[in-house]
Amino acid sequence: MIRGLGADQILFIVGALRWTVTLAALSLVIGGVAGFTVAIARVSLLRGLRWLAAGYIGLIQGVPALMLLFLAYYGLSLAGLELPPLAAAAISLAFYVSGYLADIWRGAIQSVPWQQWEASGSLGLTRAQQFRYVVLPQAVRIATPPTVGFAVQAVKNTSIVSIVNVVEVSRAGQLVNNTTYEPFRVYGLVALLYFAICWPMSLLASRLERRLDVRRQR
Amino acid sequence: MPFAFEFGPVIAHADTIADGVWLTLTLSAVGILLGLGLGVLLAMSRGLVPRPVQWLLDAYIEVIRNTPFLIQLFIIFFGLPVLGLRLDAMQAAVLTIMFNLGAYATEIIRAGIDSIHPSQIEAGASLAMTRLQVFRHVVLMPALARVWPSLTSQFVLTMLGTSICSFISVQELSGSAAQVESDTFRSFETYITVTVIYLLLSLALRLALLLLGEALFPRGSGLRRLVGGRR
Amino acid sequence: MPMFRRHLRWLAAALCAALLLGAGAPPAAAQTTAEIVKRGKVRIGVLTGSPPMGMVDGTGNPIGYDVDMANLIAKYMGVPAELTPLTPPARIPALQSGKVDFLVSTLAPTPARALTVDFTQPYNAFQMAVIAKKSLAVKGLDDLKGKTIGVNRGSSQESALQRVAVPGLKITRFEDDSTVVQALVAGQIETAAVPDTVQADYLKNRPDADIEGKFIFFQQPNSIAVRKGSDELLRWLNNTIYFVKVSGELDEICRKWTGNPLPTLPTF
Repeated sequence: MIRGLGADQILFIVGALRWTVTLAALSLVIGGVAGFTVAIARVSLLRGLRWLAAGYIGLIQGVPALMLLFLAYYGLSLAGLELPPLAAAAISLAFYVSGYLADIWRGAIQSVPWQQWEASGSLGLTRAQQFRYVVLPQAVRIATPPTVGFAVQAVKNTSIVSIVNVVEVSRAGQLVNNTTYEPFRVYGLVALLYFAICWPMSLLASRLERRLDVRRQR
Repeated sequence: MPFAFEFGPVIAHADTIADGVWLTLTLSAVGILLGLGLGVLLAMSRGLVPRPVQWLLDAYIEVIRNTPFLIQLFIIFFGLPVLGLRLDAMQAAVLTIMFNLGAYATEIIRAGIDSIHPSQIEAGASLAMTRLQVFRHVVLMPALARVWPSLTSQFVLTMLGTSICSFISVQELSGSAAQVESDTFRSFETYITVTVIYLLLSLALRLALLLLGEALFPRGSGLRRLVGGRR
Repeated sequence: MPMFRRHLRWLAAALCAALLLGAGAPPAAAQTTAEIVKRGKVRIGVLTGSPPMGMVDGTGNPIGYDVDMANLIAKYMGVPAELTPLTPPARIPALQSGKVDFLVSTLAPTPARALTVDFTQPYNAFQMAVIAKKSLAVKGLDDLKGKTIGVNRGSSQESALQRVAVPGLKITRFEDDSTVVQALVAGQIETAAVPDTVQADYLKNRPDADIEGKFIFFQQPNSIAVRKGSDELLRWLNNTIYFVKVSGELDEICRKWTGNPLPTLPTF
């Protein structure tokens, strides 16, 4: 065993980046699908469905991601699902992602002027067709910048999955620091790695926002 | 014997949990006040400070917004002592919350200030208002009124984010949860209880900020429209 | 006030969702050795943040006293061990939800905990040491008056310190033993109560450090934890612990990681 911040340790931390990226990507995809469903339910014509969706969003946005992660992670296994730690962590994070994305997309859908529903309805389009051909194409434009912006939050929040046994960059940093006692350099390196991923995404988000000339949603 | 839910042992530790709630509230309140103050200050200072200072401020905002809170906390608590600056856990937590929220608040308030049309400032000046009066009544307050809903969301996120401070021994609510869990081994019951408490706290905070907004920005028909429109 | 009503509705719906998430969870069943053997591998939870009991090597694999113990148990069960590295807050949930068959993660068998899980006879014990900077004069519990001391949150050293109730002693709680030592090295706390094994491991790696062991204040035996009702598994584990104690294999592991022979372990 080598102690002291050597090449091995640095490689270990940098290598853990792949789990950070994988987790973020998986949770964004799974959370995106779930979030889209919730967003559609949130603007449904059925009152009960709207309520359910609103409750879901309220729950997710009302508790710390840390607690959510715990409940989802162990709830999953209590429900009898046998998942490898990475999948379980990604699904747990996806709960968090879906609550926020649902809200962002709900806002985007609702920002499409009411008259367009009426107009397309009077043309005989079904509700599904209205979504498909009239509302969503416009909502996507509005929703893209804040969605990219939120993806940055999702990447950063992978830092707390250390509690459910995935050794991503933050946990790798902690483990290395436990044996090297070089907190400033270790966490400095970890911060740098996050910045390298998140900053380009942030830049992209604000560029998209300017290009689409859409007012900030949040 | 099958596993059954048993909340009794958790309720027996109500005092530990109450202490945690209190610390979460304290951390959130102090952090939000300082963070908002920093945000207002930095948003105001744009255009008034020399270029290099502005670059530094922009860099600070980008670094904060693109790194996790947990790592910021670790650097301030474990890292700064290496450079000879030692803060106790509570100070480190408050400072990290302040710097973190400060960066987000600056961005939000800047957007509010940008939305004030220059002609309004000219109008204010033509009414013989002093520069300070113009700034306060024409720029700052209307800007804050406009972005109050965004600030509210950010404040709630800040409150929820205090849960991470237990990593550096600040025993706020989620720290108390870990404590109770470790004493009783009633993990699920503990985390479900604490989750419900967090829900109540964020609801209370949202309501308080809503009322505060109504009180601070009484002419805020625009505010009502915005809050209403977000639903 | 419509806004208020809307918030109440929001709360009601959110609470329902919370209850849905929490309730209706079918329990993980008790465990038998037959089931484990039939599965072909034994799943054991170990810690990674308390050297030298459980830690990771340069490439992230779990190593340590507990890891060797876990592998030894697997050897006698005749199946390979699948080790799940855990953080302290994740240990019990991992056990209760059936992610692991049992925990070899330095758990103190306290009566309160034994209401929730079942413990085997102790398989190791550490002396609880108080460590501090060399310049700090502390020789016994009385000298801790008015100082800050770092502990592993919810650990037996924490409850031991609470029991002796040194006046003015401020107890500061961290995630695990490694973080406690980190905080001491960074000067965030004046003293720390850690297992002597943690102290020895730290001093072995940092002989130049300005930190030394001050005194030992009690001995903490540790047990393996199984889910409630896994009586047959519990009996088998007790049997195996007895066996490796007598065979000298446990003593060998103890010498390897702590440098000391296996202390006399109390039984119940």
